[in-house]
Amino acid sequence: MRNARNVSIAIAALAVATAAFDAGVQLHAQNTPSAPEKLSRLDRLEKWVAAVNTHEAGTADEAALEINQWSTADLRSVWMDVVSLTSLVREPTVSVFFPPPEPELRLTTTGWVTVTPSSSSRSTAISYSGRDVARLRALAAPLGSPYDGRENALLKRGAMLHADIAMLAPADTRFAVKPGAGSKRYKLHIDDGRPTGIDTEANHWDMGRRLLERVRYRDRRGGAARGPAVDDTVRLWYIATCAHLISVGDLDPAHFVRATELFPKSPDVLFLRAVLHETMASSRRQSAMRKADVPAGVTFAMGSRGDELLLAERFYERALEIAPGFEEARIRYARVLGQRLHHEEAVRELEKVAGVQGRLLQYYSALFLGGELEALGKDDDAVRAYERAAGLSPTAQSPRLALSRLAAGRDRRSAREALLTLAEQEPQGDARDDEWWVYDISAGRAADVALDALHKAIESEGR
Amino acid sequence: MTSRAIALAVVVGIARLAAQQATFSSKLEAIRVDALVTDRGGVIRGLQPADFEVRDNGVVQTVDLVSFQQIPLNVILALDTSASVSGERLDDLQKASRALLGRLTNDDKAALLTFSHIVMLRQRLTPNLALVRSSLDEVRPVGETSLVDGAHAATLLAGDDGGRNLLIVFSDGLDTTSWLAPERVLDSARRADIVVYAASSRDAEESRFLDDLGKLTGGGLIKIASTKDLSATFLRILDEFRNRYLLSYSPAGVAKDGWHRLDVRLKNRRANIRARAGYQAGS
Repeated sequence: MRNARNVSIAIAALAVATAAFDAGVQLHAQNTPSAPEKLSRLDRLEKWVAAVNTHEAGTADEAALEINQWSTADLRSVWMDVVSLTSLVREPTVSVFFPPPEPELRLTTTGWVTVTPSSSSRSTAISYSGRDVARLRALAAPLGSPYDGRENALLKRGAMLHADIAMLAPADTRFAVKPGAGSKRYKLHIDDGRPTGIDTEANHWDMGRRLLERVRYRDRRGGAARGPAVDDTVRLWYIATCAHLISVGDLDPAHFVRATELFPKSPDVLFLRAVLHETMASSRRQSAMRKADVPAGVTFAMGSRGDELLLAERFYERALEIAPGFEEARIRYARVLGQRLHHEEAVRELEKVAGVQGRLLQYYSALFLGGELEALGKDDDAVRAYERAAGLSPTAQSPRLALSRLAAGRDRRSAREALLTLAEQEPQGDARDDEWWVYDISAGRAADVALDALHKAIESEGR
Repeated sequence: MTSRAIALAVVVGIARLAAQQATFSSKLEAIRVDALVTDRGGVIRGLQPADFEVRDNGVVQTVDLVSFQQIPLNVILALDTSASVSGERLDDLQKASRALLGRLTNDDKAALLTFSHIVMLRQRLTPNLALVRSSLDEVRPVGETSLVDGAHAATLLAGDDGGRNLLIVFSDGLDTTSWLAPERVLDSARRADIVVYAASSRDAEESRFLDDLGKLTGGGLIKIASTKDLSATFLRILDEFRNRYLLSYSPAGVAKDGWHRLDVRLKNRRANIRARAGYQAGS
């Protein structure tokens, strides 16, 4: 498990400005003396297709490292051309290509949602030359006939490539633009509850999402084509990447919002969305956000502590409605209920998972039960719960702190000794680890397993 | 009786009272109230038991013991050593702590506890201040901040040897990793025989816990603009604490358990008195 001390905590935001990618173009031209090789539009698309076809899922290989240096403008250009390419595969006779509508995260009366402008708002056609169109057709040819599915494989492999860049490629070589310049991904870095800086970078997560939005399956009954929501690899992509983002403390609301929009019945997706909001409610992030010097035009999709807790509660409830046996969701749901001062409900939920398997979840369950019983004034029961937690995690200080506090009014000497003997131990290695410290990120601990499953699914798509 | 003998008698008496207080039972024990008495910023000295009026839940009590300066101190340092306290801040903190230790007498004791996300007891109460200084040198900033957890653990270090317990908490970080709820730690602090002073550079909202802890125990919160001010702040706290009166009385005419509100004033003159807001009897 990753330790709290080594985790980079960040909150990502989308710029509200709709011309974010365009602004990036200008900055790229002005501020990148060591810009990578200048490529023509179709050269870049060909390079991207080649990179996707050679990329090994789960690695930061040469292909990933090269594309890691591309600018937001480069990525936008490739995205539009990939859309043109897939259009050509699905409608081989098409000869005019329009820029696809760009999805945005917007705050509405029902919360944050992904909004994609309608087709009518499209602007002028993309000005491909006759030679460009011929090159597009040449690239489309190996992708087979309409709805063979090979263009979908290209899109999914592309999304995997960009996810691997975001997860594995070195951030310091990633193309970045200065705050305020309109980059699509602003990242607020936090240390110990303080904002330590905002930076921007080419948004490979957004690129991955945009590619997957183009996944289409023909409806065999002649209806409208079905989109990415019916694709299990896309679902796996969202689960694995959301879990990864949770595990490294990189909270990107747009990613989680789109995941739940596409897969509103997936308990895993709902769970991870709930974790996002629960984490957003934490004091370290709330405080950092209050103090952050956010550039004009940038909105972080983060509500107040109360709002975030309420959202967490709702998404945990939805996950549990679909999967009542989802014990980790229930434990976390109970924790959120307790944070919202619904202590009796929290106790009832925790009692339902009394037989939970796995030491970590048993520890959280016992610790939280102790806290809720303590809040209800049921000190004797709280002591029993905390003693169980202490037994499950012998080096953890949290249950011992609680036990010492509960005993302080009765037998200060023994309470003091139990805690202080532990506190005197040098924190070497795992000797003083307390899983409470990594509660926020522990929900993403299955990220590696999910990513392995995703890699297998991607490989099975073929090249 | 010489003044030395008087001091000894007071110490023995307080030790006996403290021992009684260590375990609350159904009977009412002697209560100690540490009070700072000032007028226009200056400490009023030379007051006797008869000068004080102590009301316990509104009932006037007979103050039977007053001491001033003579009783040894148990000074507990609880220092934030999270990652935000690095470089010059840590140097300032260590310098301030050494300055404070330098002002303690041979009869005083000190303890050192640090907290990041880890609560680390580096030195229990000891009259050997060299050990505390040595532990101070080993401090390295790391991790996040468990202020509430650290403050609670520090209150447990209060001695029950009759010395006057002073806890000085320094934090410049927001609490990000504590398990304990602030309101419950405040509730426990009511029961402890300890005065808490805090020094913090955080804004008012984020220092609320320390402010409440200080007020509840009769100490206070001192806001600092920079850690450069820490040495002066720690010495000011120590001076102020040495100039406090320690009153004691045996409660009469009040309930044997529950929260007892305390009201301390002078009978014949106006003064500003800072003392703990009350105490929790029974359990």
